[in-house]
Amino acid sequence: MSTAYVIGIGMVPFGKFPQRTVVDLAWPAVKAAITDSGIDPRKIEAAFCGTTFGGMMTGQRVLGHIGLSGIPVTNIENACSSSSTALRQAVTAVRAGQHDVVLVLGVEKLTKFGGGVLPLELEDWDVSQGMMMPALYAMRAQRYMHDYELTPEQLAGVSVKNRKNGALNPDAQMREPVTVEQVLASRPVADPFTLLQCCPTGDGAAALLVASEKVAAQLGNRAIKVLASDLTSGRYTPGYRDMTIPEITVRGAHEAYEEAGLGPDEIDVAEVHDAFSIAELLYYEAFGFCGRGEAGRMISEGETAIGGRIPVNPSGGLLAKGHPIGATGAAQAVEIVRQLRGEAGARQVESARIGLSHATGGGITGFDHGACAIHIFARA
Amino acid sequence: MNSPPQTRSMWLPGGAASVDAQGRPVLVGGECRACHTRMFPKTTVCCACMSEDVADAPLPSEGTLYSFTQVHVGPAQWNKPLVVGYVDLPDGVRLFSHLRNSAALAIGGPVHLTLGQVGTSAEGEAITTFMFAAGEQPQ
Repeated sequence: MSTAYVIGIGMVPFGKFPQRTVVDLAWPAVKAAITDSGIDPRKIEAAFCGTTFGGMMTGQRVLGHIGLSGIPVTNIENACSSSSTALRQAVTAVRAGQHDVVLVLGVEKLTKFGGGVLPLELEDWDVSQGMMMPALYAMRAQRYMHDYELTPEQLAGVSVKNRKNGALNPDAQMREPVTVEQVLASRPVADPFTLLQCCPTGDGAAALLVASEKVAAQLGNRAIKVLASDLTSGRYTPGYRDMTIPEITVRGAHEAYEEAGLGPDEIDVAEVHDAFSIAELLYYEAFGFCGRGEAGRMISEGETAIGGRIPVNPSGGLLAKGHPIGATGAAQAVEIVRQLRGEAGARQVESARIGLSHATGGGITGFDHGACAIHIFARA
Repeated sequence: MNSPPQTRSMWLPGGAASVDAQGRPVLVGGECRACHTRMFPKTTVCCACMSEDVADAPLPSEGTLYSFTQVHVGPAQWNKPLVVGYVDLPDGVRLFSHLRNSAALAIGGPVHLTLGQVGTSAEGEAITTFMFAAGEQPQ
């Protein structure tokens, strides 16, 4: 199997843009990725578009708007992993030798729902009985705090770190730093979460160009190598599950490390799926950045801050950069590529060589999560 | 078994819960006759082995609270705040349920089955369903 490279990236700042259409949100991200790569857009052979609520034929609507039609376009819905799944499909196509240049797009416009919690599938049993994403993550947090040492201040520390990072990211939706006191004093959402421990609702788009070694070589040394591209789904059970262990991410992390031929000690920077404060902590443990029950200590000691042992979510993560769900996976990959190229500005992680992105989600009965996509990238 | 009360109310769980002759709530799960997997709610096909031979299985009415949370946001139909959690039944089934709000709710603590109103539908009907309350089943 051949190697795939990311040769171009683009995104639009995340935020609330109720007046923009999905198409108008998305095309500037695609154009930015093409411009960034320096490639002739006619060389794009296929496109994968991730979106959850973008509507029918989102990819064709966006690409047709800017003269990119007549190529195979696949629209992918995988909840919060939609565009990371699209990235995985693009990498798979390039590695298989099917295409030399493939476009990945992620877009979402959540303001069309007018605010409130993410609408889930009403056909699902738990959802019909009152399940919603803040409740699901809150139950994880409650159980974790019951089983392990984790204080409300440590939990709030995730928001403080990510808002501090977001303040350094011009593409972030939330650009004001906050204190632990502010986080804990914000209005309650689902105990133990206060508002500032929940990702904001918003709109956005991000895009990447994935190419074969042959094409990447023609572009000089800016290309970023894809070391691992892993997708998995949750394991269904009608019975007991340990909610303090995100089994889908543990499994995905193991698979991704094996594919990349490395381990957690070699990751220099990571973007993980911090939809709620507890999530980032669970993922420190799932990725092996620390041992079981050590996540609270890890955030307290600043190990995951920019400048720490393993900086996590330098972009601000979902908590600060925002979480237009179909755009999230692509935007995480954009951030890692920026970090590995040394183009992350004020939030640059010193000499980052290997980076990881992780998008997981989908609140459905009987699963930890529905989908999880993990990518590991390296400076070529 | 009788049908649940039909007064201007919406019975949320459909056939997954009912009320017995003494007026006590009963959860109706499923048990696969082929592989004996138990589930809630009952489905027409087994989630473990694909057998379509799934029988009704009355579930235990006492369990252990695995985790829970009080939620202050969400769809308009629910009473706020609403308290929800995962209840582990002794036969291996975990179910998501509304909980009766109480300071006695505790992770790892006993809970028992009861009924209650959890919201109001857009049409103004009281939404009633099974829920769990702290403590063991009153005798």
